[in-house]
Order: sequence, then C-alpha cells, then structure tokens
Amino acid sequence: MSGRSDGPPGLAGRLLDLLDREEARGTLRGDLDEEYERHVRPKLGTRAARRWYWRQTLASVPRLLGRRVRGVRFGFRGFNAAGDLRRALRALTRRPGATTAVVLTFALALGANVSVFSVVYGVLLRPLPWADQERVVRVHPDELFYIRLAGAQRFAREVTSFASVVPWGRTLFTFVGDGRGEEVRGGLVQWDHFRMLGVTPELGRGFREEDARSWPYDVVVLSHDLWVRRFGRDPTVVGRRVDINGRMRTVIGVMARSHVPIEADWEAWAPLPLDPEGVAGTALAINARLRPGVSIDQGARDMRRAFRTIWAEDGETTTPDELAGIRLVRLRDYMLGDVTKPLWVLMGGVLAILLLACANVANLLLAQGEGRSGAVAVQLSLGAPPRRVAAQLLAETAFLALGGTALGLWMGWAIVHWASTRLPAALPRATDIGVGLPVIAFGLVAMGIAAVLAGVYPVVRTLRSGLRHNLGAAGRGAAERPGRAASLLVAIESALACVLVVGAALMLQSFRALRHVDPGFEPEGAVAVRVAPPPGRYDEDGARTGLYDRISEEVGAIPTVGSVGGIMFLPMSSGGAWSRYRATATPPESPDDALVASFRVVLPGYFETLRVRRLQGRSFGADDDGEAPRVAIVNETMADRLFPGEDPLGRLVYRGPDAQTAYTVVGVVADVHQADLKEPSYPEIYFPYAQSPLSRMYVVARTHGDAEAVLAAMERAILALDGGIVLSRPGMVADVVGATVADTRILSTLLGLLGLVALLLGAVGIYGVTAHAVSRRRREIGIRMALGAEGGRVALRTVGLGMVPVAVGTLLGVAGAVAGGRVLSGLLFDVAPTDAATLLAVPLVLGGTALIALLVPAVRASTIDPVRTLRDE
Amino acid sequence: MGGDDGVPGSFEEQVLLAVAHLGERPYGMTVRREIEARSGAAVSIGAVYATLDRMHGKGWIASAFETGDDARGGRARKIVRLTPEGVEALRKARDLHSRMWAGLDLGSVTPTEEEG
Repeated sequence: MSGRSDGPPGLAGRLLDLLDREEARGTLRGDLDEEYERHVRPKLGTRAARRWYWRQTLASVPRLLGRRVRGVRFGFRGFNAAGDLRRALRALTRRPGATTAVVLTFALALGANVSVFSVVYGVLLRPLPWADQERVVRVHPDELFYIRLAGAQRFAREVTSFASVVPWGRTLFTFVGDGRGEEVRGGLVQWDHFRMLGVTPELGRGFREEDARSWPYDVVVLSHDLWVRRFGRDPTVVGRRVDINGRMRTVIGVMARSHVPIEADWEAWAPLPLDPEGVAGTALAINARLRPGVSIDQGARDMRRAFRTIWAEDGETTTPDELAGIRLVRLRDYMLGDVTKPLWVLMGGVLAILLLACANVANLLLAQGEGRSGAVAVQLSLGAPPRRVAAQLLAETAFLALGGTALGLWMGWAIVHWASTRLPAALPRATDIGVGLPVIAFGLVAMGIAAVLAGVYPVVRTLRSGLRHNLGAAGRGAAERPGRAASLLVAIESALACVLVVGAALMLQSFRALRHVDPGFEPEGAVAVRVAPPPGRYDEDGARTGLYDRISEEVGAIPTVGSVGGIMFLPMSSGGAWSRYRATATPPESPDDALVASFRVVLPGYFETLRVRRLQGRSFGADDDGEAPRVAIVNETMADRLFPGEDPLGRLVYRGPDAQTAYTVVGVVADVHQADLKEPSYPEIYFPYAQSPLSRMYVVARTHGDAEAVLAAMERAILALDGGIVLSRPGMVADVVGATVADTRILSTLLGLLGLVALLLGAVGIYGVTAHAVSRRRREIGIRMALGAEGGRVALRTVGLGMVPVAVGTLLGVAGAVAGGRVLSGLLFDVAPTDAATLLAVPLVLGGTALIALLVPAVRASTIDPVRTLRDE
Repeated sequence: MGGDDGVPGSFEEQVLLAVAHLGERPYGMTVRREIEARSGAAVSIGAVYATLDRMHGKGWIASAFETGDDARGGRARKIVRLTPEGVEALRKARDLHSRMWAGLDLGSVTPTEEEG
C-alpha cells in the first residue's frame, strides 16, 4: 500500500506503527488510512492529502510518546517530576540573564576542575600498568649514589627480601641507516627488567637470560613512539637488523603505547651483560621487586644490612647514620614525586574556585528568592503543598546545575584537548591524560555537591519567607536587616580568595626569584648542537680530536658566530658523569675522604663562549693535548672542598679508587648550576677534550645574530664535514635553562590565574550582595535622606557595612594561609610560606578589590531620590 | 484542562457531544469529522485521541475493538461509546452552562475597560 504513489506516505505510516506499540491493532493508522482514502484525498488531491497525513501523524507523536512512558512515570506521591521540570524550565527561560550567569559560573568552575582532575587522575591516581606496583621499589634514588654491575650482583646475592634485583643505567642509541641519523635516550637494563615490572611487549618478546650472555648487546626493544616515528609502525620490524651505535643489532620487541618507562624520556632498551667485565665502568642504579608479604620497611632493613656487609668486606666502615640515610622508595612515588605536590596544590586551587562559584550562585539564588517570596506566598496560600513548591524550586536549581555540568564537562574536555600538546616535557605519563569515565564521574559528583551547597539553602530560605509572608504584605518593603546568610557567603568568599591569592603571590615571587638566580654563565645569545660522530670512522682518539677541531674551525667561521666551544654535558640538560677525587695520593682512611664530583670534558673556548667567570689561573689552550701533562680546571666549590684555605693552582688532584691518574689544577672557575637553578652547585672538575676524547659533545656558540639562522648554518657546516654525523639540538641555551624552571613557571602562572579568577568571583559576589542590600533598603535609605542624611554619609555607611564581612573573611583567610602554608614549602624558592610582606599585601589587594566592587552600589545608594522612593511605595 | 470536579473542559465537552451525536459506532475519525463539521474549525486527530484517552481514564468513555476493512489495511477500529458517567458529565456541563447563563441577556452586557 505504501508503495502506491497516490497512497498515504509510507514513512509516516511506519512511524505510527513504531510508536503505536500499545494499540498493537493499529487503530490510529487504520483511522488515518481510511480517512485518507475515503475523504481527504478525493477532496484535496494527493499532494495536499499526503501533507495532511504527515501533519496528523506528527500531531499524534506527543500523545503516543506519552503513552509509552506512562508506565515509567517518575516522581513520588505529591510530586509530579515531569510537571515540575517543565515549570522549572519555563521559570528559568523567563530570567535569561540570571540563568546564563549561574550556568556560566558553574561551567567555568567545573571546567577548571575537570581539566585539572584529568591530569591528577591520569598522572597520580591511575595505577601504573605494572603488576603489583606497590612492590616495585628503587634503591636510594640519588644521582650521587651509583653502583657498578659487580657490586649490584653482590647486593642481589646478599639480600633476601626481594624477588628480583634489577640494576639499570642510562644509555644512548644512535640509529643510522634508514634515512636521517637519530640519537635516542634509553635504558641499559638487566635482562629481567620487564619481567620485574610485569609487562610484556605488544610486538615480539622481551629480554631473556641468553640475550645477556654476549657483550656488546645484540638485541634491542623499542618504545611504541620510536616504532611509529622511525619504523612507520612496520609490523615486520621484529627480527630486523638495524645499525645502532655502529653495530647491527636485532629488534626483538616493541613496547605498548601504554607502557610507562622508568625514565620518562626512554625510547629503547638493551640488556646489561651477565658478566660485569664489559661494563665495569658503567654507573648503575638498582630497582627491585619486594617478595610478597615483605613490607617496604623490612626490605629497607634488609637492604641496609646487605650494604653494611658488602662494604665491610671491602674494608670500608659505615656509620649507622650513613646507613640509615640510604632509602628504599616505591618506584612509583619516586617517578611521580616531583609532580605530586604541584598537582594537588592546583587541585586544591580549582576546588576553592568551585566553592567560590557555589557561594556566588547561592548569593544570586538568595537574592532572586527574596524577589519571588511574594509569588511563593501566593502559591502556598492558594493551597499548593510546600513540598510541591520546594520540588519546583529544586528542579530549577537542578536544571541550572545540569546546564553547568554539560557546559563544564565540555569546557574541561576542550581545555585538556588544547593542553595535550602543550604539557611540560617533564610531566610523566602525559599520554595517560584524558577525559575518561572516572573524570566524568568526578565532574558529576563535584557538580552534584556544588549544586546542593549552592542550591538547597536558598530554596529553604525562599520557602520559609514565603510561608512567613502573609498575603497582605506580599512584595511590599518588609525591611529586614542585610541578610546574615549573604554576609556569611561574602566572608567565605573573601577567605577563599585570600588563601588563593596568597598562594599565587608566593609562587609568583618564587618564580621571580628563580629568574634572578645567577646560573654562573650567560645563557642569552648562546646556542648548542649535540654532535654524535658516526661510529667506526672516529674510533681513534686522534681522529675524534681532529673532527672536533675542524668543527670548531668551521663553526667559528660562520660570520654571526662570535666564539665557539664544546662540552660533554650542557649545564641543566640531562646527563652527568661522576668520579671520586682526592687531594693526596695516599689511599683514604674512609671513602668519605674522597670527594664525589661531577666531571665534564670541554673543547677549547667553552668557558669563554658560555661566559663562565674565570676566578683564578688560566683556561684550556691548544697546548693541553694528549702529549702534554694532564691538566684540570675546578669550580669554586671543589677548590674550597679539596684545598680549604689553600691556593689550588698547581696542586694535583687524584682520580679513582687507586689514585691512578693525577691532574694539575691550572684554573678555578665560578660555580655553574649543573642541575637546575634551585639546586646549589656541586663540586665539578673540567678536563680538556684532547686529553679525554669522548665521543659525543655539545658544540656551543655565542652569536649576535638570529639564533635559528645560526643553528641552521652550524648544522650545515658540520654535516658538510661528514654527512654521517648525527645531530640533535637543544637549540638555544636560554631555553634549556628555561625548561628547568618550567614547573615553577607553569604552577605560578596557573595559580596566578586562579588567584585572579578568585578575586573576580569575590568582587562579583561582594557587588551582588551589596547592590541587592541597597535596592532592598531603598525605602529605609530614602526615609533617612528625607530626614536630612547626606549622600556622602549614606555612601560611606554602605561601604562600611559591605566591608565588615570582607574584613572578617580576609582575616580568616590569612590565618588559613599561615596554617596551610606548609603545603607550598617544597615548591617555593627564596620566599617563606609565611612571608610577612605577602601576608600584609594580599589583604590590602582584597580590600581594594572589595572597595571597587562596593563603589557602584554605594554611589547608587547616595543618589536615591527620597521623594520618588516614597511615592513608589 | 478539565477540573477534577466531574465537569468536562470545553474540548472534552465537544468530544463527548460528538460521540453522543454520532450514535452509530463512532470512532476517532468520525468524532473528529463531526466536530469539524459542527464547529467549522480544523481539529487534529492527535487532540481527539488524547482527549478520548483522558476521558477513558475518567470513566466517561468505554471502547471496544472492531475488525477493520480493506480501506484501513485490515487494521482494527476502536469504537467508543458514552458510559453513564460520561452522560452524567455532559449533564453537569449543561447545568453549569444554564446556571451561568441564567438571567443573562447579551444585549444588556457592556464590556468594561480593563484597569491598568
């Protein structure tokens, strides 16, 4: 029938069949079809008749839908949820301004919460994809605490609390062939590293014991990202031989994208050998897995006992204090340690913003409720049950919260989406951040609580004042005192804003102080390129030295380059090397007599190029080559520690446990911040490249031109010497320094933003309460002015009354900031959490903001025309 | 909407009257056409059905299914009739009308201006 071109529209018929479930006999469709055939089409013609049919169908939809949901009608006795919601929606659309304000306030606050929580959840709360992550531990995480493979193996035999002990070190993989050469950071790990974590590769296999029988290593495992980037997701990569560091090695596995490496920047892994001989000089750290049922404290006691035994066998004595200082920490806590506190501080900040938003919304609803108490009184006196009126008012709040939730979740998602490519590189597990179910659940719960906090009291108040109202006085100026509830809200807002602004001010001061720290060199105007010579061609010391000499010459010839030099590890970039040094050739009585110092090999011109201040003696020159006596330059700290009160120039420094090598100190340079700007400098010793030619160096240049152009010119010049050289760039040295303060910069920026938002919300709240109080007391003010009060005095009184809750709240806020200041202690730099100037200045800023917010209502109060006010009454 | 005092609302009243007029096996469509014919205004089938449903719930209308013919694709027809309660509702409506109109002559009614 529906196929006929002049018949009733088939689609409309099917729609009716679909909806008309209850009347399975299809009476409605039957009626329509019959009417269509017998009356409508003959009278109107096919086209108009079909339109008629559609109109009738669509007009029936609400009824049919209503019949279908009748069975699940919601609400309970005395309530008709659907009706209440409909009326609530109508009430809200009648006040578009206030509705928008509330929804936006909720949405902004929720958006901030959702976005920060998605980071907190992804980074901190979500378990790492390891088996039993609580049992994975790291032995004393400290750069200066390293162990050789032989020592680690002795340790593993000595302890009993650990299911496995896994030494590891950092290494570099230079991939050549298949296009551009690339240097990748990765791990040199004992073969059971992945097994200890309880993870398996997504492609291929992990390491086996037999992989560790040969050295140099023969097999590698790639990270997911490296596999995508360098091998284009090629599934046949497993089993392929690739050129790494000049040797062909076999790719045996690819880790899953979800794998969290123990060092954030690792992209490849190779196995340590079983035989410590091949890696005798490699400094390693130790991870371990506790046996089931062994607590971390038991594990720590076992670990200390083992170290004491090992050191005693080596003839070294250790004091109980030193032993107690060796820590055993959960690897997860160590990996996330740096970001845990900042993230929770941020979370606290956005929660405070949500509370502020609640206070503002409650304010607005209270003010509105007073305006509506007359209408509510009318409803009640006409016999509407109070429960029913309350339900409708609550439904309005529920709608506001719902709107805020939807918009807020979307905002949170948008912020996370936007920020996903802009997260600081130091943030671990950044790929785990997203708005998933747990984040949405958090958003819903947070908003639910916020809606109850903001919405319930105003409803109760409105209802109560409606009940108290008798009809005769409805809507007429029943002059109450300024609402105590509103004053309380202002006080709460002031306190919250005060805490947030104090936190933001402290962080901003820390950041400013950090920027004023002297790094010991001049990063501005310096650029750096990391140069890894191709393996094979430059294995001879002389060839390597020659290569870097030629690079220095070529780079120095670039017109915009002022000076050129080079160093093994750029200050404040990752990487470092450590040895023990002594001032005397005789073996020390205790290992503490040897000074652990960072050593860096430099090319001539390094100190001049980075402008490291020379304090004494000379710099390295062309004469300090392989033939000449070994020389060294020490930093100030090392000079003071090795030769306290003496002249270090010309003195000998002995290196290594047996003092095999001696160096003559020819110069002293200023301390350079090696790790970051917060960490004080540690002892450091520099050697000339020609006497210790290591393979990879950063080539640095000081330039007065455009940094990008100079970097490109440097890379061209270096590759022209040998196209096989693998280059990677830190780029501008100032950026390298900047990256070390990124955490403080980001945290202070975000907290600063939250502080501003808090001030704004607070100001809006104070303005709202006072403006409302003024308009409610128009009559009282009008009378007082009619009796001779001056406008100025009225304005002053308005400001005074408005400031009382602000002052009370601010005092509470300062007290709270002092009490909670400890939270920030580890994040601050060069400023105390109870910094007096900050604690004095912030209340002034708050007071100033409050004054501005009070100005408009105060002026309005002072210009009330008594005659008009009274006539209006 | 009709009150709960047993007096039909105005559209309810129209539907009840149409059912009463039709006498012979009325159903949705004929009710609709009857109202259109008598009032001269277009009436949607959705409104008629919704009202019939509601009055069914109030017990004013009873219904029974009747096998359909070819013009309706064999679909059943829902025949409605007035219940005694429905008749009572109509009577109440008429009584209310008469009480309201009693002693009133439109010629004597002057419209008054609304006060602002």
